[in-house]
Amino acid sequence: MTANTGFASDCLAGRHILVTGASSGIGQAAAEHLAAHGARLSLVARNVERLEAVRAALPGEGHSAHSVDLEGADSAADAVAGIVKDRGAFDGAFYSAGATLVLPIRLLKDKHLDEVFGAGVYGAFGVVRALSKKGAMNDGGSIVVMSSAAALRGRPALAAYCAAKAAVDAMVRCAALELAPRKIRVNSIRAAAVETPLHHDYMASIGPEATRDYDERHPLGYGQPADVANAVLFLLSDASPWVSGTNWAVDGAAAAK
Amino acid sequence: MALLGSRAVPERAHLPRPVFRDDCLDGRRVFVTGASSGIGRAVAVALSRRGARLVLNGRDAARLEETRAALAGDGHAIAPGVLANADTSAAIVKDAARDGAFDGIFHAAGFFQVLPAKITRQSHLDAVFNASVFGAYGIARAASAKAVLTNGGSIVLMSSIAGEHGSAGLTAYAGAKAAVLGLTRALAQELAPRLVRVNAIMASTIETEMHERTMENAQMDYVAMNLARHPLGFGKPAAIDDAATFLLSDASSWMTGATMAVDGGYSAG
Repeated sequence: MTANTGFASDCLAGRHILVTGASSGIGQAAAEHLAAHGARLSLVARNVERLEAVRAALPGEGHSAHSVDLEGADSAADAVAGIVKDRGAFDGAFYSAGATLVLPIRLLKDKHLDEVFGAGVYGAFGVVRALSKKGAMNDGGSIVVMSSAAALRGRPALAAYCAAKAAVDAMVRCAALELAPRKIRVNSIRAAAVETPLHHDYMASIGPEATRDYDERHPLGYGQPADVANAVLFLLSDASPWVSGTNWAVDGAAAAK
Repeated sequence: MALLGSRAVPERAHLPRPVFRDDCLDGRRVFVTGASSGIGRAVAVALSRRGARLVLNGRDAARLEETRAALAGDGHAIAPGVLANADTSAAIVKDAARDGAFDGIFHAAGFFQVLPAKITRQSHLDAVFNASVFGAYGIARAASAKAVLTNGGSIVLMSSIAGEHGSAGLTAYAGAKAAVLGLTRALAQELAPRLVRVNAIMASTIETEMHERTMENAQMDYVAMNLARHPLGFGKPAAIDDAATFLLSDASSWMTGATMAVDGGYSAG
């Protein structure tokens, strides 16, 4: 069987979609996938040079790149409101910004928690807040937030990251209820290890025994950014009008173990 | 049933667009249980429109023929048989694959029953567990052979939010649907070496014939209460079509062992 993802190439035609964390990894892969299926994207990340390079390489036209600080809810909300003013209401959003941090709890200080919760949690609150305002997102729109199997399964030295992911999952469930009257859907994707730069940093930081254990926790192997991008497209598209408030595992059976 | 219609849909900025290509399941052989009505029939029709060749299972050959007549394309077959327990179910699936291994299995067969625990007898449990749970075990056993399900194939089992959320009168149904979720997680581990994927769809109330029959006997306050638990309203019979297509297609090739909630927001609140 040859791979056939099967999505119609115009299934997102005319849809205006926000992608945060689009300068690398899963955010970049999702941006490329969404643009290839007709979406008009507004890309957001801290590093505007890398982001601009991603934008320039996207298929289709009308994409924009914005340097935004997602560390705080208020600054993120203001930035999204500004993009809406310039480029119009959104039909979809994929929030994939966030940092990971490998540090035992005994060493976790405020600055570390801020580092992980900044873009990982507060930025997501700000973006969803901005999109909840009248005129910022069209009725029937869809928001997808990147989460992780870490929201459900513990791992030594990952307490801050695990807690941040559990926090966004809970936010997604509440936002789904608040926005349901407008048929705006809100979901998260719980991925396990996906082969991104972030993943390679993590693997480089752990020893051989932890590596073996991590391998065993991924029955179907590590994922590719494209695997997540397919799920993102599904949740942002008209294929999922009755799916909201869920935290979907896209993880090769990692969390099922 | 007029009271049960979905809530008013706000004006949309865009008309809905088909998401899957008509050929996205081209050449895939898929076995569908519960294919004579409801979700099983709706999904069978959707899969056929996307190129799949189907073998339909259900207890009633005449009704399966009705489903077959509604399918797009040709080369579809029926495999009537009652999923009475794991052994007969395994035999039915194995026999249905005699002309070639399947690439996918969609298990929708099941029976919904509202009954207080104090009057739930073994016969009531059998009615709920036989097709849904023991049928799934039969599928699991048969599909463990490469001659029945190809390496890289996909199994999709219908579960329900009842498997995770309690409702009075649903002890038997809830137990059965929770059993399906447990089976999904364990079987996913077992079949991962063959890259066979196993996922469950956790649906809430969908306006099928089975649901309408149940509702005719239900108190109106129960109906209103249940609707209030669905932020996006009850589902249409087509609500599962695209989720099933996604899980049976290559777009979900890293998804296994997962419970996919397709429930109109029910489990969020």
